[in-house]
Amino acid sequence: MGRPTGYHVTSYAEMITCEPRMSAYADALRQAITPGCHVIDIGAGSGIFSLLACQFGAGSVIAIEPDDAVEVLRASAVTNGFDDRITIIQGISTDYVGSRADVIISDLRGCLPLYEQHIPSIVDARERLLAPGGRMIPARDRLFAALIHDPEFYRPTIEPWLRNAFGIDLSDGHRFAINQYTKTYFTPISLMAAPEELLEFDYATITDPNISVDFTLVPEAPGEAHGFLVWFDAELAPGIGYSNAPGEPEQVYGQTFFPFERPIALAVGDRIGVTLRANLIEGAYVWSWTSAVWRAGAARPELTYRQSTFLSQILSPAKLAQRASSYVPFPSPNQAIDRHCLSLVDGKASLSEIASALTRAFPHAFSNTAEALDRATSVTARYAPTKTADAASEGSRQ
Amino acid sequence: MTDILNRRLIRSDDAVESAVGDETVILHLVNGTYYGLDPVGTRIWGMIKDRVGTPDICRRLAEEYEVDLATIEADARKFLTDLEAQGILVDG
Repeated sequence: MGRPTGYHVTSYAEMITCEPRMSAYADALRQAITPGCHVIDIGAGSGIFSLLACQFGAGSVIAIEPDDAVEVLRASAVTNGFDDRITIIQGISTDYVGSRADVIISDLRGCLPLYEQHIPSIVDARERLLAPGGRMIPARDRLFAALIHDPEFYRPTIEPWLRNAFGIDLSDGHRFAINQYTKTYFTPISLMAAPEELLEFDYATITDPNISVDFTLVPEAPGEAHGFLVWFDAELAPGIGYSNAPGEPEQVYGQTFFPFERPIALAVGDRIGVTLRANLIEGAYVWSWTSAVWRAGAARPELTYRQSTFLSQILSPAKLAQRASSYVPFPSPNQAIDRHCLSLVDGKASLSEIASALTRAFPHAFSNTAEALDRATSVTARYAPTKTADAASEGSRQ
Repeated sequence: MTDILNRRLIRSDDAVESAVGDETVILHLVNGTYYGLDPVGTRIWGMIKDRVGTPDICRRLAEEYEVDLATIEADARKFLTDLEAQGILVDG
């Protein structure tokens, strides 16, 4: 599931050469494939998993990918002689209807497994598209966290907002800087304590795309804490996986750094109680982290920081009000143009003819036909039939 | 049923709020809905976060806005009931 990713082919190259990720995926696929089995590759990209599945003996592969990268897969399938076994669905997996697969393979994660529609897509695929006894790759991911000391890395959350060389008070920008997480890669030297395991995503059973997890970070030595780092370890299949922990080879996923609102000086015996939440809202995750600083022996926290990526967004109440269910939208000139444009789509008129009609109907909106053509192209493209519906029937094989 | 003005209400852990000028936008993390507060609502919200009791909130608003207490209480009752219905306020 997901919208066109906009990945360039070089992004796919980076993923395919990312180790140990890629070799682990290949090993897991080799282990799972039985001769002639049916495979679904979700978020196929340029199709490396689909091609490997064929190489390992799969009888049929459904490669689902919304991005135009499928054209690379289409060519590669021919080049490798697998085009008779690979069916390409340019669309999203939740729209796909077809027979159940023996193996479903995907990597829809971002820095963390909690990324866009990854988990809803996996849940949907498992429920609708996985054959009884079938294998999901990956099988599970585990989330870890560790307390971080790294003043240099933290510096952009302070400068220029709280101090700068120009004597200007820029503190109004601080809240936006401090409520963002950052993709990064730390080595163990930045860790103030051993990692804590937060939770496990078991893709055989997971249903909820949201998390709320409490954990405690305790420094092993006195120092200033700047935030905490979160990463995941993957188990693709029994005995096959990889880690994104500090000290492990840097991979495409990286790690995620959540800053504290202010650096926190910690002594031995102090601790930070963290509640980390991720809520999938309108297709994107809102991350919230509440950090309570407990001094050694204290009965209550000395201070509590409540942070959220929601606070890093520059919001307009007027624009948000337009999204409320009680909001009454008003007609606009732009709406009239689009409505007329769509009314001209009848399966016969060309874009050029539609553009000419728009220019005649709205002479003040378009100074020439080229402008109207741009408008007609973009409006009609939103409703262009995808190949999903047509190809889905091709994919209904037993 | 207890009058909402006599109950102790606190911000739900499911609500995060963002100040925008003198207004506030609240996001309910679980149901994904946004809720906008005007300047007066923002003032009430600030007092709730400061754990000011509801009767005191109404008294303060009556003084600040020079409106009679009964009117303020009626408006506050409606406002708090709405926030509770949205899951933004919960019993504390």
